[in-house]
Amino acid sequence: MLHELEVADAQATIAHVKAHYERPLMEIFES
Amino acid sequence: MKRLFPAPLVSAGLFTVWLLLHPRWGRGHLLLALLLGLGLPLMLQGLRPRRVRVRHPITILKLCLRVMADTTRSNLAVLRYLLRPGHRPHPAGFVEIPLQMRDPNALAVLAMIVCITPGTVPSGRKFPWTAPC
Repeated sequence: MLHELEVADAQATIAHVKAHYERPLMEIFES
Repeated sequence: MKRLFPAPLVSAGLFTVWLLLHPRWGRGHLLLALLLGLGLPLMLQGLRPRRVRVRHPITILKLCLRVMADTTRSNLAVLRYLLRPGHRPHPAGFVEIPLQMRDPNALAVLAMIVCITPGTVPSGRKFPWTAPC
C-alpha cells in the first residue's frame, strides 16, 4: 500500500512503480 | 570463530568508536568497549541483511538516475502545493501495489526509495516494507 499526495490514476501509479522500480530491483537482487 | 565474531569489522568499529568517544582510557572503558564490540554483533546478528552480490551495474545506475529524477519531480510538486494550497486537481489517496519481488534487500531498497520521495509513504500490513518513514 502506497500513500500518494495526489492520485490521478491508480493504474498509472502501479505501472510506474512496477516498471521503474520493481523490475530493476528484481534484476539487481533476484536474477 | 565465525560464531563468536559474526561481524569482525563491526566489532572492531564499535570497540574503536567507544574508545574514541572517551578522552581517558581506563580499564572500565576498555572492558565496556570489549563487551560492546563482542556483544552487540552477537545480539543483533539476526537483524543483519543477507549478503548481496552486486550485479547489473548499469541497471543500478539507471535506477539511481530514475530515483533522482522522480525525487526532483516530487519535490517540485510538493513546492507547487505549498505555494498554491487551494489548487489540487486530484485528491491524495492510497494505492495498493501488487508486488512480485520477495527479496528482503530489494524490498528494503524500494521502501527507502518511497520514503525519500516527497509526497509518498509506504503503508499497510500486507507488505513487509511497512516501516514508517
